[in-house]
Amino acid sequence: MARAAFTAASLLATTSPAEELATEEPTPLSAPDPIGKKSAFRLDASNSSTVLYAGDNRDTRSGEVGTLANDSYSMLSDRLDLKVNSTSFSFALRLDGYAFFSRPNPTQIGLDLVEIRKEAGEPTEGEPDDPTYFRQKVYDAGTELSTRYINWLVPTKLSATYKTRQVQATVGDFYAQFGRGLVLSVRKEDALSSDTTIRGAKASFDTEFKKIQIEATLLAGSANPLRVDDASGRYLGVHPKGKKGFQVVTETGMPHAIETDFAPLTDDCETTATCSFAPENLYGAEIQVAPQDFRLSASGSLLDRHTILSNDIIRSSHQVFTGSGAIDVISLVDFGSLYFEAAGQQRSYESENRSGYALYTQLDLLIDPLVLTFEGKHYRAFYPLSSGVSTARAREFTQLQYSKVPTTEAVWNTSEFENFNTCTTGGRTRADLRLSAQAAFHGWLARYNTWAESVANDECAIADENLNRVWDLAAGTELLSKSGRTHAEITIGVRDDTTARLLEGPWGATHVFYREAYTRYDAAFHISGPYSLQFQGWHRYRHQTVGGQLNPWLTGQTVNALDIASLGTIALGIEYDTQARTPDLYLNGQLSYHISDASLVSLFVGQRSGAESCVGGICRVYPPFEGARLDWKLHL
Amino acid sequence: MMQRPGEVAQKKSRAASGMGRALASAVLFGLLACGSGGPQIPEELLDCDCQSEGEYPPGPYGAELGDTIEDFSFRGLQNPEVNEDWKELRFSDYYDPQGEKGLTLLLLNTAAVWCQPCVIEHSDLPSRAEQYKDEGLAVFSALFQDADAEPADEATLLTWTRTFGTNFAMALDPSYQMGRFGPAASPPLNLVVDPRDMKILARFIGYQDEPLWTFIEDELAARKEE
Repeated sequence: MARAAFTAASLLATTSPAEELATEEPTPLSAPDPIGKKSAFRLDASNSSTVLYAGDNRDTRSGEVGTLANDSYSMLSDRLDLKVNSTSFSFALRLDGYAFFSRPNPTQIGLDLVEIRKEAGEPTEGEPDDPTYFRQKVYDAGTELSTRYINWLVPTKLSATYKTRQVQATVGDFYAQFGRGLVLSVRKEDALSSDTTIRGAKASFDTEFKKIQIEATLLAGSANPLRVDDASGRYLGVHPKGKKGFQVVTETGMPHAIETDFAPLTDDCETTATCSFAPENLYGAEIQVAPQDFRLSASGSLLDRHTILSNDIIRSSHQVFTGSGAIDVISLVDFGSLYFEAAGQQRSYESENRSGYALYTQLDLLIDPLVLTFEGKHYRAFYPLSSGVSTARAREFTQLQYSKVPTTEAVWNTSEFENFNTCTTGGRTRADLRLSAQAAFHGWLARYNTWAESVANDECAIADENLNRVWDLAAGTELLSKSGRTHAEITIGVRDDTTARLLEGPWGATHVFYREAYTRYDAAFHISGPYSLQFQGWHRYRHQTVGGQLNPWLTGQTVNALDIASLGTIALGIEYDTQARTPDLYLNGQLSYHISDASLVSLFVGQRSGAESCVGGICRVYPPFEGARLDWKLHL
Repeated sequence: MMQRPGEVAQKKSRAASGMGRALASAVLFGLLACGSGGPQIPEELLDCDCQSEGEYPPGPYGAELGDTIEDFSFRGLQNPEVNEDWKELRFSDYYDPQGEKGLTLLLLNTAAVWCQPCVIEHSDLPSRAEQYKDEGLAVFSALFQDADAEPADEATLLTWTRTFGTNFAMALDPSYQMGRFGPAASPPLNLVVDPRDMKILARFIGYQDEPLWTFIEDELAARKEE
């Protein structure tokens, strides 16, 4: 499954944003040999493959083509990673192949929807008769399937890098992040099934002058997101005439808009139903100056689009310039650190420019054994650099963006709704107390005002009629046995989100917008020898006043596993959701076997609920899945 | 690059696209199915009149910018603020090639009770409809699901229109015909249509209040000058 399996890191946000960056694993695009050592070229190769069958995932709804279009398909995907490294050079290539050897049929979808409608009763006066309805749905299904389950062979990532002590230059695909991500953040995020790079050129210079470290980075290129979504079979198609300038080179071999019986290829992307992505360019620069105990940095990025495919406030802008200055005090009088970043943003439209700004700070204080972390934000009409995909034709890619505006919330938080983080002031204080090597406690208290969560407020007008007030409180513990082989982490929290204005509707009259209580846990109990039992899960009690169902509901999941160290895992998963619109229960099982340290085979069979997955405020909704999936990864 | 088996060759004209080709494809699939085991289409589903009643632009119909929208029919309330008489509502009711009905722009909207942004939008939509009515803006909204994501029914619609004081045409869309223009998972959908030829001028997926109404205001202003 494209959604990442549970890990302790995904359940519990115990790392700060800076730590998350530092622990990001090396990628095929940035791993040359250690500097100074002579060595011949070294080849690394790995191959990951998946074969899956997706059956009926029980989300079928009357009239909804999409709920039948995600059933009954089979996919074989293969990913080949090749790296060639020497002392100063590295070359990397990732080749992805997708083959769908069964897929839904638009005629069958039309027939099924006619039957489903009949089961609910005869169409009422004014509704289309069966032949008209059948024809409409066949057409809709054919259009839907024109952008899904298409076979592709894609040169997903490729790069050549030259690296010395002072210079690093890359041509091809590369990741990039400036500061905390407000200006630019283009990276891989497995939990969101995204792996976005810039395909172009990047040069970094690192030197020292009178004990002052100076680093500068320049980059330019075309945004290169993953073009095929594993979870839905949807692809991003580029119009043959939609490539400008060096995009003709960067888009070579990438998926393109195709013509089908239901979707003709017209002269432009805007009117071609299978065109869902128009390549856009990114330019960036950063300079950092670091004397001993602090670092000053200035950075800027320019997102440039020539084709507009969606009409929202950020995707409809032709150019977005974002710039920031930051100070990072690494050692604050020996008991802490301080980071502060101020950013400005200008968005250019057909006939006007609009602007916004953001202030972000993080303060860490070490008062042994207590660590206090405060993160604060003050954002006014400051938007993430959303990718200009067509939200109508490729909704699975709407989370794609080229920046990552810190939320200051737990990294897995899914309760910031609509444009919460574009017009907000607030912060979170977290305390971590380590009593001993075996016991630690943590807790946080967060408070936010936001003016763009329960109303449309693109210009960030500060007024009570737009205001939501949020409190978020959590506490937890981390216990570890003396041997280190048994551990347990648990967090319990509550969230309260109320509006300043009275909300009146079918639910009555209330100020409550959203409330939640939850628990998250990750535990492993050593039995003996290589055998351990593992339990991971989360459970939520949720109440959403505006929209949603009128009554609160429960949702959660737990994965219980027998782990045999160095050999593999046998796991049983249970998921539940008491919302009226979804099935109540989902069951699944997973077997994994380690062929070697770097090679793995894994089998998943069963049901998985559709769910929203968020990482640092970037969220996507996964469709439910029922079927079987076999994954294997071989390090060659 | 591998492409989908069975794709037709690239066409130079769009004349053969749209409904007719879709139906032809469905018939072809049905004929092939007789030998291949694929879906068989019952005769009665092929007996489609597929013609709009009265005057309406001919096809092909589509869902992209510049396409002519198909004449869908619904059951709904013409103006809930005036009365709650159920009747058939059609897109052709808003076809106004000569301007005799006084229409300059048509806003087609979808909503579901479970959809939070839809609720927010409809809190404001009646005042917007009233504000631009004299400039020729007509609003038509289709409610397709209730709070439990079940097809909307008459009781759900009545509760909705009474809650928000709806003063424009509001219809039931339990068959989600509006799925032609946008996914059910991402409402509200707003489609701005030119009533002179029923062609799509703009499409907004999700709640895009300011871009939508900026577009409408600009279009109304431009038509005033014509």
